[in-house]
Amino acid sequence: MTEIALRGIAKSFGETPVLNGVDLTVRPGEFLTLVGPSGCGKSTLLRILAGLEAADAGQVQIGGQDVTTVRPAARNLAMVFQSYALYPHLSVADNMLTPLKLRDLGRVENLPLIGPLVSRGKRAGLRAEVQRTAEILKIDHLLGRKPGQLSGGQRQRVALGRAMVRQPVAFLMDEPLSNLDAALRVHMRAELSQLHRSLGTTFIYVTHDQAEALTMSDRMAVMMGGDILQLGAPGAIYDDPDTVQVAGFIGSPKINLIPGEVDGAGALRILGYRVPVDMELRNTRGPVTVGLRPEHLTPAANGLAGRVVHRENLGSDVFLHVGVEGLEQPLTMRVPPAQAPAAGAPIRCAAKQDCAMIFAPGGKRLRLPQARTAVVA
Amino acid sequence: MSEATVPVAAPVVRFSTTETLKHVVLILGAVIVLLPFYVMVSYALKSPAEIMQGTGGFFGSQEPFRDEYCVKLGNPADDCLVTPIAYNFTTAFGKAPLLRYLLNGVVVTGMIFLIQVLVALPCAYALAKLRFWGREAVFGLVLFCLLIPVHAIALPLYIMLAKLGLTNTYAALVVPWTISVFGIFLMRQFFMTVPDDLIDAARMDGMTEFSIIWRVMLPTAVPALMAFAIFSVVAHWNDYFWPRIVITGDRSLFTPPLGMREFKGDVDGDNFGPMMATALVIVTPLVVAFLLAQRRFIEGITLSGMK
Repeated sequence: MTEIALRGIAKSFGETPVLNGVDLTVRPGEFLTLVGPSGCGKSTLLRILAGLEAADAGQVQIGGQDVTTVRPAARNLAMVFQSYALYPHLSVADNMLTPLKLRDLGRVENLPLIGPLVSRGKRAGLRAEVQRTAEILKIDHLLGRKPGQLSGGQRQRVALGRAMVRQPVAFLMDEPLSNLDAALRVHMRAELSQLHRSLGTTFIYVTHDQAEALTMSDRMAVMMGGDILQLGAPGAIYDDPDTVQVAGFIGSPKINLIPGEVDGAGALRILGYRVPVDMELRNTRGPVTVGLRPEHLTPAANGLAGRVVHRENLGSDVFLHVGVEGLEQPLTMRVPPAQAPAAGAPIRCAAKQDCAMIFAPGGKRLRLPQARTAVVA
Repeated sequence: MSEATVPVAAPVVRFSTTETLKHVVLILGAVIVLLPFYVMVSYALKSPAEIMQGTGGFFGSQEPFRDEYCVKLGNPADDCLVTPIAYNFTTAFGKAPLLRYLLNGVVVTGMIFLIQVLVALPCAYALAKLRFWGREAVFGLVLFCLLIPVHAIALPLYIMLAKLGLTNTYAALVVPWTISVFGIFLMRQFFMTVPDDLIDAARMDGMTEFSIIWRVMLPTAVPALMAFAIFSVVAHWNDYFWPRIVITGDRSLFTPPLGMREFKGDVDGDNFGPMMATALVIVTPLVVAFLLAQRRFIEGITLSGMK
């Protein structure tokens, strides 16, 4: 069990800064996801950790040791790539054998022709290792095939197998599911989580898909513009985002971000409608952004008046897109199918008690519970 | 020829002016290209008299004739009766050490190709996949060198080899061609299509940059290498110009095209039959190799469409 730490990692490509001094500590054995929109620097951060890219500033530590200048292979990390990156000319078994051969066999033993003769015993041991890993991943019947003859899901498993045979300190995964079709992706999500539990090794997982981050990780780090905006458990980030960017990125369908205002009496209003928040916004006056997730809106007798412009039926839920006069974006709300009006019907949306998140004009969250305890105290 | 292009086997033969026109143009082109070949094969089969008089069709009559040279050597006239085919080919192999020339050709083209690959693959890899200062400038130089015709630098090259005392050696035939900018360019273009992830995966597995070249890039680049092999081997197997310059005295270093010189006009006149038989022997290996590797070859030149 090894702790991995990144200290003040900065990187720019030419004039463009990609990472601005990122600090991150990965706990031993955890499943940590780096999630963010494309171009936020998450893959670069992973590549710096792997040693494939050099940081302009900062330090990479594995198990307390500074490995910033250590070669990728010597860091004992394994990486699974988006395109799987299997050697196309080698069979599955040889693909999985390659990292072991390079690590455990000497210079002479790795030579073609002579190598197999002088290291027969060692090679048999490595092959047994490959066989065992293949059985865990249920790909032992594919060992003789070439990657070109495998389906996407099978290649994915082989790439995992190649990473697993080395028994690395941590697995680094760079969007490993994005080349799979939707059904297989959901299936592999569950399988990766199970694999993580059974191996107990650290997983560091990069994705732009917030659903993957929410479903699999122990902790997730939301990255944007070269910074980690928030680090925490998926549930905590979903329920309690620090900034409007995080709130907008995590959650599908997207959170409703509505321009509102705190009036002179300290009440939160959207277009005159009073949002039920059980607190006095003492120190805040003026315009704010109100965040309401689709499940925090409900049809009610009084609320924001609008009209259903679009209706998405997912079977278990119906998502209504409600056009409200005076708001640029339609509101999205989740309702049970039984209560869902038809498209075009008029509707009033009300916010549930104490669900609204309030963000200051700069995007910072104005925390309600803390404000309330302050009032009580 | 024409049977191959007319769609005889098509279930419904429909007349189309544009299709006919296309085929006429193609057939004309094919005839122009194939006619010298036809003459070569035909001459290699016919007797000198038939060649001179232009009789005998494609195969000639194959009637035995009297070899005057043999008679001049003082042999009885009856022993000097030969059939044209046998005469042409035995003279080709007998009067000139054609097998030796063929061996030279194999050695020279083989060495050239091997060293070209040894140089071109690391260069192409660096130009395609490594980031270093001045990479674009170096690649610009590669493109620039593609534009230099061989004949323009032949004289300086010759002087250089002569000063080093390397004329009339295998080295003179091989060394000037060992760095192929075309090879570097072709392989670089191919390596650009190899995903970076594959190289990163190899680095994570613990390969050095050189083992990445030989153990990952080389195997994936086989189609491109085949295409390059054909270009390189054809060019140097058929090259007459350069061997003619650097191999002056030593006949045992002659490459196959130089062997043709043995039959050029001497006192007793041009001897076209054996000359064309030699030509036939020289081109056959290439034609066979091309037919065997045809699919790969086409794959190789259409690399751009590959991912």
